[in-house]
Amino acid sequence: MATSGMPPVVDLRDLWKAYRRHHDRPARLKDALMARFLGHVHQVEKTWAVRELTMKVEPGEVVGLIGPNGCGKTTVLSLIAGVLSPTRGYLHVEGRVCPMLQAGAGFHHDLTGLENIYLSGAMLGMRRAEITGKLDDIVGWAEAEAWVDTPVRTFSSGMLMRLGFSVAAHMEPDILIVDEILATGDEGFRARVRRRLREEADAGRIVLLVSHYMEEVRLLCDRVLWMEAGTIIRRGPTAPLIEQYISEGRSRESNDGSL
Amino acid sequence: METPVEVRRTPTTTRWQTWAELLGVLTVAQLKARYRRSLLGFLWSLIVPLFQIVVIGFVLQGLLQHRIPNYTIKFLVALIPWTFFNDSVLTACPTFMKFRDVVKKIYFPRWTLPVSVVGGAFVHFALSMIILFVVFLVVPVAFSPVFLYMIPLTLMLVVMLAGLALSFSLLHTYYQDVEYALTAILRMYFFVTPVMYPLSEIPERYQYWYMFNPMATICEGFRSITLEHRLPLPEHLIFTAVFSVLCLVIGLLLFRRMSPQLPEVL
Repeated sequence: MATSGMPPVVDLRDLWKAYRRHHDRPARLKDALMARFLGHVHQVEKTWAVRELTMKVEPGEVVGLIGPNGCGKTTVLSLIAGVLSPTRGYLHVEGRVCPMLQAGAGFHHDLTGLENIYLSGAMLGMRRAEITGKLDDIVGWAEAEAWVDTPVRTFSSGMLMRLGFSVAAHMEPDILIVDEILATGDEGFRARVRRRLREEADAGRIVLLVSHYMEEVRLLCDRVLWMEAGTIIRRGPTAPLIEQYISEGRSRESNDGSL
Repeated sequence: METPVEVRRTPTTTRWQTWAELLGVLTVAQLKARYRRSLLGFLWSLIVPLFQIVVIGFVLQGLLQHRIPNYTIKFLVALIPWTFFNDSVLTACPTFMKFRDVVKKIYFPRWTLPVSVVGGAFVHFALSMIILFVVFLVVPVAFSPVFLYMIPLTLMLVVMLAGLALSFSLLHTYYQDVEYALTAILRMYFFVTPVMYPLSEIPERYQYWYMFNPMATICEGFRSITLEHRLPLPEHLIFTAVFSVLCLVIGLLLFRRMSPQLPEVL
């Protein structure tokens, strides 16, 4: 079964992640050979996407990551999800991680919703029998009964996201990673997702959320980590930190005054 | 400079059943997606090679008839493993590129992507073999227990292809030239390998050395097993088996080295 009974762990200490930014990566064999044999050295520049980052999340917590574009939020989530590996530091993640990094990632557009549930579920580590057992729940939660047997390419982005979220949510993860996937949902669905995430947390799981919608963060998160340039600059309870975030002009809400 | 990294993580899926199921789901998904929007669907995978055989077979039969009796059937038998080889390698090559969204977002056993392409090609191969046996009933070709030796030959081919699919798909993420080069090389390799012609067309004193080519052993092996009830020489078989395992080992080593960087490279 999915849950091992052990409480989930997310514990990062002094974690660094470098991307090698190839200014002109040898995209072709010719360039690579030139570089090797003729000494045409292409430039490789290291940029630290995450630097001396320390965070620990307790079971039952919903934690929000906020910060401007390019500050490393998604990199942190990818490190926790295991998609990326850290360059330096200590990373301890215990439990089944469900990376809802992008709605419908792993969906094949020529296949039907139903076929994609199996595809996406298998990629997330679910067994076939497990998926079949939960099929009704997955389809029902996404309210997808009417269109689940049509090809995914005909889906709207909202439908795609609903189904993607539903598959991921039903894998009984210990750690849920939600990266800006709620943006395309209508308010009714967002409220349902919030309720679901809260239930997951109350059951002792960990929920990590990235969002630029401060209202979303405010409604959902117990505490917030504020990132700038690859590291956490402030951390604390949601309400006061978001106040500060908005008043310092880091949020879009401060610019257009609405969500 | 030393960079201390410590990563502790519960392994996601190490159970081979989960891997096998993922492999199966990916294979089926790719086959379904490939034929979803066509009327004849799966039949196309048989019609295309059949056309090829009819055209090349008739053209060459006219030219070579007096020298090679039963040319068409000799060609057909060797073409089936060759097509399996050719299609697997060429289709597997751009898989990581094709699935970059998933690779960048979800952590899962990534090797299943190129290997599932081999799985899809294997389904085509198996169907072609069924057609071949039907042809054998018509021609007719006598069945024999020797036919069972095609199973270990196929196994070698699958192992080789899994390794090649892994290697080329990984290299392709760094150098897109791989796909173009591969197309050209495979076309050449097709003529070096006795597919269109039987080994007997090669001067006899070279035949022994000519078979130190893994695909020659497999294609000519399929031919001699079915039509002459005769196995390739043991040294050729051992050479091919060793080559296959080597391909897989290289593929796995490359995978172990390159896989962690994949999401960044893609």
